[in-house]
Amino acid sequence: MASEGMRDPKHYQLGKTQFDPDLIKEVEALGGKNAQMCYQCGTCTASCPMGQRSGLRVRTVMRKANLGMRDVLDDPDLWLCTTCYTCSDRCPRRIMATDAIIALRNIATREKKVPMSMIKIMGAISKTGHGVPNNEANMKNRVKVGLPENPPTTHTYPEYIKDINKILEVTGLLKIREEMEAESQ
Amino acid sequence: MDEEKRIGVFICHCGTNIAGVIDVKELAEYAKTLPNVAHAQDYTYMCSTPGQAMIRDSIKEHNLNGTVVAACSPRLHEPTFRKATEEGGVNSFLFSMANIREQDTWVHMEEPEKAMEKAKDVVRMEVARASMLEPLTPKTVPVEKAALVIGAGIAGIQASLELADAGIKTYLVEKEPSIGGNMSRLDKTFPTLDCSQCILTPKMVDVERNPNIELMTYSEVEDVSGYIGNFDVTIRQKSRYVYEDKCNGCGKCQEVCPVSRPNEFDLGLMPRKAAYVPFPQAVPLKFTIDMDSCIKCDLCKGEEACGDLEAIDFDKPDELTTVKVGSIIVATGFDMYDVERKEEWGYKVFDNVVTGIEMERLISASGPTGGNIIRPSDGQKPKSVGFVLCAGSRDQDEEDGAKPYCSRVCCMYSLKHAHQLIEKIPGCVPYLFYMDIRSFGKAYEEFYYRIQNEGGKFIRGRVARITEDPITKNLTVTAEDTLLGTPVEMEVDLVVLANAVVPAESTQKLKTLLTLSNSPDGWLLEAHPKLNPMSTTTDGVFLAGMCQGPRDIPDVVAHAAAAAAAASIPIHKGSVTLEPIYAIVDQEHCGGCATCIGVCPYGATELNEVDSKLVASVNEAKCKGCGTCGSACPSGAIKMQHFTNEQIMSEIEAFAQGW
Amino acid sequence: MKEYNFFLGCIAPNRYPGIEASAVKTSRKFDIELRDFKGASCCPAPGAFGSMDVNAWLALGARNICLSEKEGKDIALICNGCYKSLFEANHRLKADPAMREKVNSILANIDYEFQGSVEVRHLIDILYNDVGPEKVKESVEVPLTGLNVAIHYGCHLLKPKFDRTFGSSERPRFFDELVEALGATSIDYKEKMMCCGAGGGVRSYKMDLALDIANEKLYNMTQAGADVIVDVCPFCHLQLDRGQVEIKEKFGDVYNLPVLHYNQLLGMAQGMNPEELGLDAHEISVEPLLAKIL
Repeated sequence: MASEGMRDPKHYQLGKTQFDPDLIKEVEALGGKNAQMCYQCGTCTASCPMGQRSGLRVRTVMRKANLGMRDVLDDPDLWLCTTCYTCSDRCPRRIMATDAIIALRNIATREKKVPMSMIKIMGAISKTGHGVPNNEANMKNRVKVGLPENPPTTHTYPEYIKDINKILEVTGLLKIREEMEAESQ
Repeated sequence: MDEEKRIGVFICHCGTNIAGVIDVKELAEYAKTLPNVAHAQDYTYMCSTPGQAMIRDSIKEHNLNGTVVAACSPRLHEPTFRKATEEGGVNSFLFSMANIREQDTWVHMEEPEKAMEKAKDVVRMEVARASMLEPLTPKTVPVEKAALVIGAGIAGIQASLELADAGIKTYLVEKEPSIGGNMSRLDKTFPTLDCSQCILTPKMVDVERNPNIELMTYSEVEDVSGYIGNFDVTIRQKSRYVYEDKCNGCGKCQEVCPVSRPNEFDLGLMPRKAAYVPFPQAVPLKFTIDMDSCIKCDLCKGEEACGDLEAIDFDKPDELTTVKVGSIIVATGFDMYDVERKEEWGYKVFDNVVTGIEMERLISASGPTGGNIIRPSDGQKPKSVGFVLCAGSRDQDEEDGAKPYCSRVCCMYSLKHAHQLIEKIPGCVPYLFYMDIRSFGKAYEEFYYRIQNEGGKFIRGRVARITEDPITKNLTVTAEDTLLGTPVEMEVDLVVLANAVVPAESTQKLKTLLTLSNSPDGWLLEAHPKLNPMSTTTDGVFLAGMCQGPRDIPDVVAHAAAAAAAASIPIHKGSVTLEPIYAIVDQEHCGGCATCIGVCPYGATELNEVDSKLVASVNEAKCKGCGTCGSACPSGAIKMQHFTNEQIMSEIEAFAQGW
Repeated sequence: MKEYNFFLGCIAPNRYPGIEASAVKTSRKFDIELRDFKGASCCPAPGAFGSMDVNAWLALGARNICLSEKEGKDIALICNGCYKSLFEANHRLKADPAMREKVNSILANIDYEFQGSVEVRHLIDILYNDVGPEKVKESVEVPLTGLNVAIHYGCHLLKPKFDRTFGSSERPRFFDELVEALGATSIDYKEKMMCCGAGGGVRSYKMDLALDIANEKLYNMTQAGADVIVDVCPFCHLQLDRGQVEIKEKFGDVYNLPVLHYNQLLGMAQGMNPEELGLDAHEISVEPLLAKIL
């Protein structure tokens, strides 16, 4: 019988931490070079501009990746990294911690744990070829400096957009976007 | 080969190292089918006592006149099996070894069938060679009863005292004007807090007084030739422009000299004159004129100074001396990592960031501040000091010149500095930013306990970067307190970078002269990292102290004593036996063309007139059997003993039979 | 006359066309022609897009490079983000056969193949290493004497140092030298090398936190007496220019610090007028800057 504030003994999970030894290998394979070699010195966290103003702790992310604690993929702070690469430049074990974070983001994306803001950027690229497409106000500004209304990119040559979508399709990204946009309805 | 060849082949299992990959019994059976093989068997451990007995007994039982052991690398047990062969009554150079472990089963363990084929090839080749071998007699040469120690820091000092006290004449060569090395720069030593100069200077004086030690300071080894027991070493005694026998160390020249330069001993933190001794307790206490800075004003030669003694001579040349020694010990120490290259820590950009060794000079009573620890920017006593541990050590960034190894001494000296700050500046708080505290030695962990007890603060996090307040010149140290999981930015008055120790630049030249190698980390390579750290693979050359790798003073002293013991062995024995693996000139066929003179890297070949014909001959002791002359000789007049053309060709032909 | 295919990215052509125009005009003065790059797309955004799938990121970047390979032209660009995408894709696919094979297998679906036959250059690299600060100085007609410039290098230009050509990212000097060649003064300020906060998809994900980083930089620049901010990345440019408007809305801090891309500052120094460089389209008015220069 559990009283208020006390955990029901039936639910105690001693010794049940889940470790997945393959996680770090997935991270290294996706570009997180040397990630397995982290010796937790903390140079990365100390170099991180986001670490100064949020709960993002690069070292802890690397710890969880190394031990294989997959709950790191659910961490909303994982998406706070601005990819400034300061940690990677200073790491004494030459670990690309930024790329390890990007790798974890890739794995999370496959599990549809990616923020909708990212999906929206993919949507813009899928539709127009640009992550930040042109608009009316800008077209006027373009003409003012002597440029055509649209740049000579996919905006002027939309026939190239289908190629872009083909790549999004074969890599499985389009599907992820479809499913996530459907779920968010 | 008049006598019929009867070779015994012994296949070693080496436990499962060999037998676990190939079928050793099948290999023994195969050996029996080879020409000239009179006996073949396999055994679990050939190097064991019964294994060696097996060789001895088989020679007698089967009337063998040659042996082949197929096992590990000859670098391990060639001497063992040669001896067993000799004890069986057969010349030890009629023994040959087939490496079927390092070069076969160890590297091909994933492909056992192919490993088996290769083992058969190797045994067949070695039997063919063994069939062509000739008996040889090792040569004994006398050993010069003298030793050379290069470098007179604590390692060189210790080694030379041990050798000298054992009755061996020792030449001690030091490139600086004084002996003492880096240890003389230190203030106190961990963990005892002994004053470094107080424990070192008695040894320095002993060196100067010891009748068996010939001390050559301000000198460098210029050339080395010869071989163990008989090294000819040319030493350049650089000119001090002062006659050492006339100088009495009075210092008047220094007083009148108008030229100031940064003192190298004080790492440039304090000036010295162009006429100087590096520090007051210098041994020998003889002045040196730094001719690069001297303006030849002649004041030092005047009446007020050295006029009477006439010890100064601006035209005094360098002196070259050649000495003959039996053993050489290298004790050339270390340099510090140029931590300026780690721009994130601001060394040489921010005034109040210093290195560990600079801190030693600031703490030292004979240093630039007389032992008052003050900040370079304003001379104020620091109230908080940040220590950056592992500054350039344990770091894979080769492009910055950082080193992957641990420098071993910095945790302990940072603890010591922390203690000294707490002691000398009441209220001063030292903050040590560390990844690990490596307090491994005797009384070291207790020292760590003591410093924490005295108020040293420890933050587990490597310093990511340091910034400076442009007005106060205080420093902000940024690290993550990994134990709290929080980034910290701490403002301190002074930062000490415990920077890495690196191999000394000056050792580079010696490597070529003494045919020494580096280990991958850049320090000198020892003969065996566990069982023989004080010798090298060059017979007669030994290593003492930091030149072989980072170590603290107790380990340096122990290592130096070990080097002295090892170096004294050939000297006390009085003779060394040389392997008869050298070149021989057939003077009848020699055309006197001198090609071999030009190609020999060891200067072992000579041209002499014999019966009014110029012919070459080889100094067997200098020859290392490298084979260069043997292959270069256009007349084919040079034979490489134990590796003759016929022997090598027989191996190649035996190999080809397998195709 | 050296010709490059001018890779535009997104933010420059679609939000700050002055950056695009000034690059073309100022480069002509050094005999460099930045030609129209037909059919190029988003690079794609390395932080935002690469976070979802690195292979798709490399493939889309390689698609852009392939377009230029077909014309046999090297690529020049004016954005740190695009530099990361295209320089790294080019570099990695040239050096790593396994990766090249993987990306080419994706590109095979659209009948493209990465050859590795062209170079990708950031215009600031071309100006420093090919043209040189001396020549840049010679092209100056209106020296920017007395102008305090807070330089923002950005991140992807320099880092990771192992995959770039500029050496250490702690205290670089080349951008400062190019600004000083115009007669201006490059001022030091706290956290000069810090990120602008926009990258990695963070500006869209958590704008407040992204802006907090920019806010710290803007504060430091103002404290150090900056008259203008100069960058080499349209995304940093957006973050620091439009970002000031957003910061005023959200946090109430006001800086009124004009933001220019280097090519716009170069154009001013070369005597071009602000309208043709698109300076009037900036969110933060450049009037105080013009008052100082003209």
